[in-house]
Amino acid sequence: MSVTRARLEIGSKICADLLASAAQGYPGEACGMLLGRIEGNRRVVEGFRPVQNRWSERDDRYLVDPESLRRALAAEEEGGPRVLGFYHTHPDAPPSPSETDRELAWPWYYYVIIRVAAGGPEETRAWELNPDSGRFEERSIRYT
Amino acid sequence: MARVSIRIPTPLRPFVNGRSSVDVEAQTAREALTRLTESNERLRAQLVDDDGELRNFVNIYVGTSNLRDLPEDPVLEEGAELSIIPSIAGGRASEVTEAVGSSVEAEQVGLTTAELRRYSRHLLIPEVGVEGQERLKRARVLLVGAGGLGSPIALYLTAAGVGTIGMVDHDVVDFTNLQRQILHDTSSVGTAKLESARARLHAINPDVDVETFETRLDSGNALEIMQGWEVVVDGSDNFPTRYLVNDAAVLLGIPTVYGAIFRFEGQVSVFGAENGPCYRCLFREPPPAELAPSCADAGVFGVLPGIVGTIQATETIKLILGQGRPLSGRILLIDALQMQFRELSIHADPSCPVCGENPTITELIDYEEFCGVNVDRDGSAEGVPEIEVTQLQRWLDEGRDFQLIDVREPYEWQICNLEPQGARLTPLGVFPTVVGELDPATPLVVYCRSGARSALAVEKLREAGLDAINLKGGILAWAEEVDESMPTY
Repeated sequence: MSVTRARLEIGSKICADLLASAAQGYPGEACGMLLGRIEGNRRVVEGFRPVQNRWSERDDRYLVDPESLRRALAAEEEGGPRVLGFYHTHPDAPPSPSETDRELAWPWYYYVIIRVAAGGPEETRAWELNPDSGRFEERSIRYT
Repeated sequence: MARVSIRIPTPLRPFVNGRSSVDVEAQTAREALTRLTESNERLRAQLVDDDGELRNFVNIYVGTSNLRDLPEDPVLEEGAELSIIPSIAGGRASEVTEAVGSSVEAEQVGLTTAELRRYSRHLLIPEVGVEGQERLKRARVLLVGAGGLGSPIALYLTAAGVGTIGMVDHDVVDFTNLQRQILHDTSSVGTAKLESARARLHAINPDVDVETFETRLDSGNALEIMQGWEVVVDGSDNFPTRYLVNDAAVLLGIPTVYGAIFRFEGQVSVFGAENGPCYRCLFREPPPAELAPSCADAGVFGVLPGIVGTIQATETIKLILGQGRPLSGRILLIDALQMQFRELSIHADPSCPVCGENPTITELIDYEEFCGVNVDRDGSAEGVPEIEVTQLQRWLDEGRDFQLIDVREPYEWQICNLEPQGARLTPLGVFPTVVGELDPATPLVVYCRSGARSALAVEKLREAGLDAINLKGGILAWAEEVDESMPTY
């Protein structure tokens, strides 16, 4: 199974809203889904959906509420927007995948990680798991 | 037995021939999963562990109920729907996995059918082939400058399929650029060079990512901008930027493909390659600022950046492919007027202040100061008395007594001049011979195109004891602030 190496594209308005929403979870981790369409070598984010972080035991973990994801995937089957990937925050930590992120990662989906601090979002990077190597590879984000 | 369908999420579809759902016959949900995976070991490994238990990063839904929340294995009805829902989780850790950012090298990139066709003439060459083309696709090349040299470099790297091209420039397209800067055209005059470049490059090859940095590269931002690129190509037109690019690239360990042009002459080399010299090994110090005129001041033969830039593009692609003999340890000197190419051997200097054995430059310095460029935004030198164009206008209106001297070349005089205001043409080259003819009792106002050359003249005149003043911003400022109908160049 290969990697897609597509580019993630996100409109500046959606991106600003996403970052603002994600930063609200600070100092806990916030997470959500990236929805949109696939066009050739591009994954175009048309919207995002914050979801409840179901990992309640500790504040340095996140777990996307499975029921929200089930509904989004069911809607996708019905012709709704594609689930392109997920975003989550790393409060006060670099936006690179942690070992936990890597162990629990799925291929194909893009994982957008946002470094947040008390002052707000700081840096955003996108990653895709290469299932052959078991490592994350960075994907470019184009802000449109 | 009930016939049920199981929905497969996108990441698992490669294991079921790309299908989005698979039908099986089973009585219960767990039995349905067994049916799905019994002849598919790879899929099985994704869903259950060695003990046959559902992996904790997978959820199975029966209709709208999570199997984990149900007390027992539910009996299925005919037509029931099961969904495999990935469990998406993670979290930050003190320890970040190594690899990633730096693993660009290891990235697996395939070529699409369209790419195989587009690059077929490359694929036929053994030195490129599919592997080389994939290398180009995952390569990241930063160009400093989107002007004369940057134009052919960007065009050819884009056409060749270099995956990501970064461009640094802060200029706007001007009519005087079009004689050589073939990235831009008449319709883009007045727009940012990077905007014009992006549109042109996208039209040539929409698969190439163009990352733009609309700023002047300086000591404060160079390391940040230049970090993470595989090769940096220097298409800058001034010494401070050249030294800055060299030093930052050495500090970051990135090779630089250097090119420079002056009228009919050009230079190309590869600096900072393994065991090779850097720009400072060759040119320890910049020439005096007055001997280092820019294209705007000295002029340039329009095709020359095309020759030099395409050689820079060639060397860049060779570095990415790891093929051939790079132009490292050699500098190519090009004379377009005689059409002669000469090559000089150059060597890494162990005493080089930046790449030598005991470097004294370990962080970026003030390159304007290092190059002796005390030029303000208007292009005027500091330290000589200046007059604003609006004040000159007032002097003229008042009928004040002074001499107005134009130190440009005759062809420049033909484009525009201040003859109606009483200006007299005295090109810089003949200046020494006419100094004696000037009336020492009457003050002199000296101008050129932008104020740089006239500042040098003012300095010389003042040394000779004359009361000379520089026109700040030159005739360009006059055209902008006083006479908008005046043609400029």
